[in-house]
Amino acid sequence: MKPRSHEPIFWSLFGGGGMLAALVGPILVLIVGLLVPMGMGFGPDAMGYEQMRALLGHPLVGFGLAILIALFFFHAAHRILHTLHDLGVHATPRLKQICYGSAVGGSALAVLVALVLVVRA
Amino acid sequence: MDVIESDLVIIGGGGAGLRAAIAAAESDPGLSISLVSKVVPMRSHTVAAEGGAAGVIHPDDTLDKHFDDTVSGGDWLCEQDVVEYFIGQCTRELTQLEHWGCPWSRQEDGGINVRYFGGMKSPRTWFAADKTGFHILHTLFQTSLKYPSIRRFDEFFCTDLLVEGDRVQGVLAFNIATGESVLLRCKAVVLATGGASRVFGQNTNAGIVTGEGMGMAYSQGVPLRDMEFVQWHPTALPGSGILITEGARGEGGILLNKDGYRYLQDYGMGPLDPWPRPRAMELGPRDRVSQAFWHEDQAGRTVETTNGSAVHLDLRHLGEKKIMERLPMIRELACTFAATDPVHSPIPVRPAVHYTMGGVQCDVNGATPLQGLFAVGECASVGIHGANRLGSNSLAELLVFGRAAGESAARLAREITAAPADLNAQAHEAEARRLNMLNADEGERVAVIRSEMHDIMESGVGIVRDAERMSQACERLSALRDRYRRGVKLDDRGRCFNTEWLTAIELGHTLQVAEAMAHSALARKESRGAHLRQDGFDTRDDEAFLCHSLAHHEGNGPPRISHAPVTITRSSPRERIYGRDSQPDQTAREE
Amino acid sequence: MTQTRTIIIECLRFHPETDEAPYYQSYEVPFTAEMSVLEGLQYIKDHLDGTLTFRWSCRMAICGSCGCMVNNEPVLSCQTFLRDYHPSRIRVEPLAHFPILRDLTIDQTDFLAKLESVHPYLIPSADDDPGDQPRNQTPDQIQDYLGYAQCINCLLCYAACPQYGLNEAFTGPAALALLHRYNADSRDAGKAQRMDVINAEEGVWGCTLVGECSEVCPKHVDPARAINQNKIVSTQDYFLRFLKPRGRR
Repeated sequence: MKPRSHEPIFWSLFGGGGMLAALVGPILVLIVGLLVPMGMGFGPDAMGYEQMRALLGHPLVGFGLAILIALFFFHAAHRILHTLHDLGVHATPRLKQICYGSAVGGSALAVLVALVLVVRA
Repeated sequence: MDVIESDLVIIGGGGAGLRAAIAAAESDPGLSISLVSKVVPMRSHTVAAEGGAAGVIHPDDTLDKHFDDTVSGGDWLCEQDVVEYFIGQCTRELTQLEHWGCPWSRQEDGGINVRYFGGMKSPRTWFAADKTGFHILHTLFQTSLKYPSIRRFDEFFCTDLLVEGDRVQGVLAFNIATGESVLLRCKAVVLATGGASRVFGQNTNAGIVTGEGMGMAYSQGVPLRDMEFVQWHPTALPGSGILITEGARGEGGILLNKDGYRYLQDYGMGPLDPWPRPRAMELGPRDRVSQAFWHEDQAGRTVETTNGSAVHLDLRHLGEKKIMERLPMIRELACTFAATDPVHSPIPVRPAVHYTMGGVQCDVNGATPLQGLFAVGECASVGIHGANRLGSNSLAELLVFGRAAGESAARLAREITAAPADLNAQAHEAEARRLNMLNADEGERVAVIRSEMHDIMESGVGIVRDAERMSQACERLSALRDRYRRGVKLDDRGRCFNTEWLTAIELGHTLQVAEAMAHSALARKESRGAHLRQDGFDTRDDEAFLCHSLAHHEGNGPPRISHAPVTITRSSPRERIYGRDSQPDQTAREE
Repeated sequence: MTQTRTIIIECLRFHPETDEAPYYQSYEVPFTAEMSVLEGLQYIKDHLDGTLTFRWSCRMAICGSCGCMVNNEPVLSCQTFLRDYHPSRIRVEPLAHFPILRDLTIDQTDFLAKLESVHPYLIPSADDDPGDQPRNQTPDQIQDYLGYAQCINCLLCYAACPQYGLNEAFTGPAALALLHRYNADSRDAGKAQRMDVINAEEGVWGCTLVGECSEVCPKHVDPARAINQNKIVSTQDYFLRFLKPRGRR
């Protein structure tokens, strides 16, 4: 019997990040790139510091964004690992540690920042 | 030389060989079975069968109808007791394949769907779209992987049966990849090597269908039976010979000459209306439909293509949806190999050699006159096809008789307790003879001899025959065999994957089979089924020729032809009637 | 008659008994519009050089014997036509990623072992006894697996798969598609026996969804889709196993 692969963990994080990127990305582009600058549906200060700070201070928004960013990190780590593999740089345990370790680090940072923002809101 | 011991050696990994192997493994898991094939099993020619397999399951159908269609289709040259066994087993075997996962096409309610084929009174053909043989073969191959007692020798080329004490006790084979010989010692051998359509140039068959199973048995004195009966499939692509299934006509396709006229109505398969109806027009039997083409061609009413004359198979009225559901591969084949999309234009078709009705003489259990040797499938003449095979009976045949032969061979192998013969000397002698071919410095190329054989057979033993051309063919074949014996010049002298050498060995077998066909044909002074003469023997002669032909091997000389009686149980010969009402139901139970 | 032209066919040659390394040999072959690459090779074998070695059989794209690389693309040589390359020369090589036995023939034993490893046969449930009747299966149920049952084992997908090229332990597109064919069959209950193959590193996780397998498949099997569906299956199995009661797999 062949040993079970632990890839499902990373693949589902990768898949989650990819799916959210696909869903959230266009919406952010629409809001930040088009609607706000053109003044459609948002006030002139919609992206102002105060408004943004208040928004991020809400636990749901702050932590939600942190999770989103974490999944993006894992998506990127996984993609980089596999692209390197396709280019002939094969996934050694060390390389995996670097890729996924960076994602873990980035995710931890994102959560930390969210925590600070929420607590000091 | 490596020696491999097994109870049973099965030569050929197509449908018949695989079914025999599974049957033997199931009947006695303790038997060791060697399945030897010159190609990996799923490459075998069963894969190319398109239309389907016959088995009574439709509410309108009966076993009697299947019996009668088969016997009348075979122009009363069938072994009726064998046909009786056959029709009783078909549905069981096709159901068994369902249990093994074969993706049979279904009705909306999930039941088995069946369609008409030529010469059938009721729809009887189980099909898996138009890739029935492909699905049957892959289902059997994949199922065979469940049985640990089946040991495969893929890409091993068998050259000789080894007989000691009047009994087959071994087989000499070469591992194609290395060219190393191996002696397979055993208690019984099942030949499942397929037909010999590559005797002819224009044929629907794969390159591997070269008849060496027949040749191996024949060289050991086993008669080849009814070899004159060669089936031309009426609808193949001109040039390549690629098969366009009879299922295309079963689904409603029609045949048109160059004037757009459904010419079959002029050849005893009309009248046109009502259409569609069974056993009429395009659903006539293959011999009659192919012969009708020949007459149309003679009369100049065929269409010229770059690859010779043709008629049109028109499917346009079926519509794209039905064509894609029932005949997807036909559409793909026509698009790729004839640059014709049948949804939009008719496909040019002409007859090509498709099937060898005759073969190694054997009984209902596949047992040949040589003890320990069994034969099954197209290489065998078990007696169900007579003078003309009905479409769909051959896929059913390889299942029904594959099982029968597998079980019988297993039984025999269990009964034999004597220690196997040594066979070493014999095997080395045969090996030396085969290896000697690698050293021939004189001689002709394989392709030269092969294309001359094609020319002889096409011109002398074609769809329509006469004594003069058949005698010429016999003489020319004899001379050609002499030339072959004098030497085939090979560019390739190595042992490893030497396909030129193996092709030359095949050709030796094929030439013998061709000679058996030509001589059997010449000796049959009548017309029956696929054997149609135009030299005063234009009709069937039951007084003199309601009998099998047997071709006996006579060393380097031409074969000796004898005749043997046909078993008739409950259907005495009548006129074969298609088209106009053939009164289907009252015929089967008569004396 | 169709006009005859000539084309240069450049073949990879390798004979293990005499050659240390593969080399290329060119042949000038007359051809007509309907001639396939396979027929070009046959012409060489019959008339120019009997030592050129390649596999073929049905010449109608159903036996799966004649796969090779033509100008670096994996194709069935029987349904690839010389006219589409003329007047350029063509280069014919054995299927990529496989060991060469001789000239254009490759060693397929690794694939056959993989095919066997996926339990490619119907495994009905223990209480399923159809007796002597065929089971029911509706046309819709057939559609769930029929596409995956079209594989002719020609190995073009293995030659196209960069992952198989990098790591030959990967079970590969055709074998995994065949595995899925049985899992997706309403009559089959053998999925549990096939989970090991799916779940392994060399199973579906060897695939990075390059998708070339589905691109080159001459029978439109879409192995990439089969594999990706089973990544979901494997992921569910990975996490849900913790929820299953003990004693059950």
